[in-house]
Amino acid sequence: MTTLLEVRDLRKSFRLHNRGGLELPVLGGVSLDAFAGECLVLAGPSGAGKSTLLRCVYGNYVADAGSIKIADGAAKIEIVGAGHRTILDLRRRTLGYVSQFLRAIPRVGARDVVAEPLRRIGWDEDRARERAGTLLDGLGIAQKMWDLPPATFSGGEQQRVNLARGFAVEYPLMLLDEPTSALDAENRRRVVALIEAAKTRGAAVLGVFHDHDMADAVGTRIFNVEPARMAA
Amino acid sequence: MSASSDEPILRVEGLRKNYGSRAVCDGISFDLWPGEVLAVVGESGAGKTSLLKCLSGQTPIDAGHAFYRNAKGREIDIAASDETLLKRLQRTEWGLIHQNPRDGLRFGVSAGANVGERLMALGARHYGNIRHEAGDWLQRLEISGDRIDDLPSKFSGGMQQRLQIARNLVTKPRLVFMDEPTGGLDVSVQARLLDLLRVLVRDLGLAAVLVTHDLAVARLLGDRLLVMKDGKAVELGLVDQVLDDPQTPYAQLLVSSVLQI
Repeated sequence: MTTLLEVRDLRKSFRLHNRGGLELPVLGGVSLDAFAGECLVLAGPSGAGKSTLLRCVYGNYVADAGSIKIADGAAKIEIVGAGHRTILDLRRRTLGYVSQFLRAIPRVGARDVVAEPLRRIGWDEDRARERAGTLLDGLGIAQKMWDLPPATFSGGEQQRVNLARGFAVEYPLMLLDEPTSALDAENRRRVVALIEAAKTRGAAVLGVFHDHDMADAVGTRIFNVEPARMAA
Repeated sequence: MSASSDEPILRVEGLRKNYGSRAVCDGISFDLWPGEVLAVVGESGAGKTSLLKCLSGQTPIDAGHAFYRNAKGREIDIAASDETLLKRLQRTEWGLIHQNPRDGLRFGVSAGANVGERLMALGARHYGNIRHEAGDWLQRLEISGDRIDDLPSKFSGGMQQRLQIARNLVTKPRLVFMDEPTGGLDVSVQARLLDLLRVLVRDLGLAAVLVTHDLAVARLLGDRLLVMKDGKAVELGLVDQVLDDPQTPYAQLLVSSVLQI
């Protein structure tokens, strides 16, 4: 089995300087591996740190200690303490992240929102827009909406645009943070197909899902995130 | 990525700028790489604009260094360069976008001349070509071709700002300095300008230093964020990292002070 992600003794707490330096421990030493072709479901109660773990892997949160190694071709790249160029480069080519909410950009149509990550890895405009259309179509976004900015779309439509954007580049490692919370059963089935396709091409998927059906449908293994204990 | 992107285009080391006995920039250091946008945020008086003016050769640097790697790959210390060289860089390899279009445009000549002038400064002489290219750039900035002979004073504030951007980008600069480019514009006009800037920065692969007090603008356009307070750099990191997980007391205060919409 090819290991695509290696997390060792990851620690993360939040220090609230403007609340008297209050320290909130979230991850108290998490270790896990994710392998090519699997979907590892992160489980645990609300506040256990599932999203925090994903955000640390994406370089969005700063880890306090430990190690996060991401396979990049034959190399393994350390995220903890990495320079910004390393992280930006991994995000362009290797590391995908889909959150619960789309960050809409004024004036930019849905298809261009989806095509943008492809443009960043050098696809020409026509090819990127064509793939964007295929993805939107696969997620049930009607063609008449493709040129409209998603800011006016419903929550479920925005979430599907966000998923299309997140899956546009075929990243080896996909991080999913409740990407289907606003979707009905039919659209969740479409997302299951998208995740299954990613697994089949050999991606490792690390996901937090709010509903058990979704987790059961795509999950290969479950990892329980244990809440860190407050220091006595 | 081209070979030149393996070296920073700008290396700032311990930059200091005094205003009387007070340091308005105090020991600022960072590297900027080709194709990267560094957003500089902080409240009024933090030293953002002073930093931008130092880096772009508009005001002398009192201590420290700012090395600009020019198109030929040679490093030039902006702190030690004479005005002639700095003026030449401003006209050729750099762009300078002021908050107030009045500071960046010539109001006595037409829109087309404002854009064409930069080309002529680089040696373009063929009137037809210059006019054609100026017209192209006006269109890229969504200014209709039939306004090419109008004076900038006949333009709205948003159009003047777009004209200023066209004037700067026509010569394909490598490094652009922007000081609150959307300040003073209506929100709807801002959105258009931001979208244009975002597309241009990506398509032209520009490196840019962007001063703004608006964290949403920083998130939209920036790759990295430099937070300044009282002339000092208090935090530097990826834009989303500093905004979502600020580490220092001041950055936490700044981020938590923004109203959510």
